Amino acid sequence: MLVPFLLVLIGLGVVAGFFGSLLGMGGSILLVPMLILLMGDFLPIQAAIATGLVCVIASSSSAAGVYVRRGWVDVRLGMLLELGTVAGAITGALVVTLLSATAVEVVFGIFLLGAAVLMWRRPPREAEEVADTIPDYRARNYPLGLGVCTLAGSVSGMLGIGGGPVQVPLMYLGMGVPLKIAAATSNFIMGVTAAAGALLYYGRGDVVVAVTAPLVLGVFLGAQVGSRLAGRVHSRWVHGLLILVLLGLAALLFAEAAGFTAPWRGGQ
Amino acid sequence: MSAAPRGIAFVLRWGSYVSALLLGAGVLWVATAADVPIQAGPAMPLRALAGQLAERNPYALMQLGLLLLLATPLVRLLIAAAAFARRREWRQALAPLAALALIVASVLLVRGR
Repeated sequence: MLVPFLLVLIGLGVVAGFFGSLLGMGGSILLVPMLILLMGDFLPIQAAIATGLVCVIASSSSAAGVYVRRGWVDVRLGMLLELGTVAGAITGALVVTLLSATAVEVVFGIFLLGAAVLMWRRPPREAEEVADTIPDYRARNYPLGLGVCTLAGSVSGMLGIGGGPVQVPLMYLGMGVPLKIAAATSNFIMGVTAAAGALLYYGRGDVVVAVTAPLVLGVFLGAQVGSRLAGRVHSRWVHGLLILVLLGLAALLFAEAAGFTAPWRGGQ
Repeated sequence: MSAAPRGIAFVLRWGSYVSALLLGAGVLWVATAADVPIQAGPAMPLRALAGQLAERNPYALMQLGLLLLLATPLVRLLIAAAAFARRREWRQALAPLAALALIVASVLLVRGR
C-alpha cells in the first residue's frame, strides 16, 4: 500500500516538474489542481496549496542557483521586487483561511482559464529564449513593478503557485527588462515568495510531510529531465498540450465546485 | 561574478541538493521499511524533531529535508544583505532585510494565534 502511494506521488511530482521546467512556469500550476482533484477526500485544500508552495521553492532554488551563476538574474531588481511579492504572499496565505474550499476551487479555475488564454494568445518565442547575448537595459516603472508583484505574490500565497505568469510579462513588457533576464529574475524571486507563504502554512500545520516530501522529490527529478530535454522537444507541441491540460483542469475544478465528484473518487 | 551572486548561487544550489538528498533518503527509508505506517497528519513540532531523528523516524528525516528547503531562500536573503552591507550599499542591503523581517513577523503572528 505504501510503495504504490509513494510512487503515485513521485509520479505526479515528476509530471509537474517536467512540464513546469520545460515551459518555465513552475509545476505547481498543474500540481495543486491535480492534488485537489485526486486527493481532495483526505488532503485538505490548504495542504494542497502548501505542498504547491514547497514545490515552487524546490524548482526555483535549483534553477535560480544556475541562473545566478550564469549572470542572468538581475539581483538588485529581484531583491526590490521581492518586497512586494513577500508582502503579497503573506496577505494571500492569510486571506485563504477566510475562503471556503469551493471559493478557492473557483478562483483557481478562473486563474487556469486566464493562464490558458494568455498562453494561446502568446505563442512560445523560441528565437528569444535561446538568444545568448543580453542587450543593455535599464529597468523602469518601479512603482508599477512593486504593485503588480504584490498582486502576483498574493496569488502565489493564495493558490500555491509561482508568480511567473504575472511577473515575467510585467518585467518584460512593463519594465523594459530583456525576456531572458525577466524569466530568470522571476524564477529567483519565486523562491522567497513561496517561502513566505509556505512558512505560514507550515506554522498552521497545513504541511503534510508524508505527501509533500515524495511530491517535492518528484518535482526535483522532473525538473532535471525537463531542463535537459528543453532544447530537443518541439515547444509548440508542449505549449498546445499545456493549454489543453489547463483548460481540462479548470473544467474539472469548476465541476468539483459545483458539487460533481470525479469518478475516480466515487462520484457518478 | 562578484561575491554576492556567487554566495547566493552556492546557497541555492547546495540548499536544494542537500534537501533533495534528505527527502530521497526519507522516502526510500519509508518505502523499504516494513513497519512504517503512512503518517497523514501535520508536521511534528520542531522541538520533537531531534528526538524523532534519534528514534530513527523516517518522517523526521523527510521533515528535516523540507525545513532545509524552506530555509534556503531565507539564508540567501541574509547572504545578499551581508554582501551589500560589506560594500556599504546600505539601501540595497535594506531590501532583503525588510523582506526577511516581514516573513519572520508573519510567522510569529501566526504562531501567536
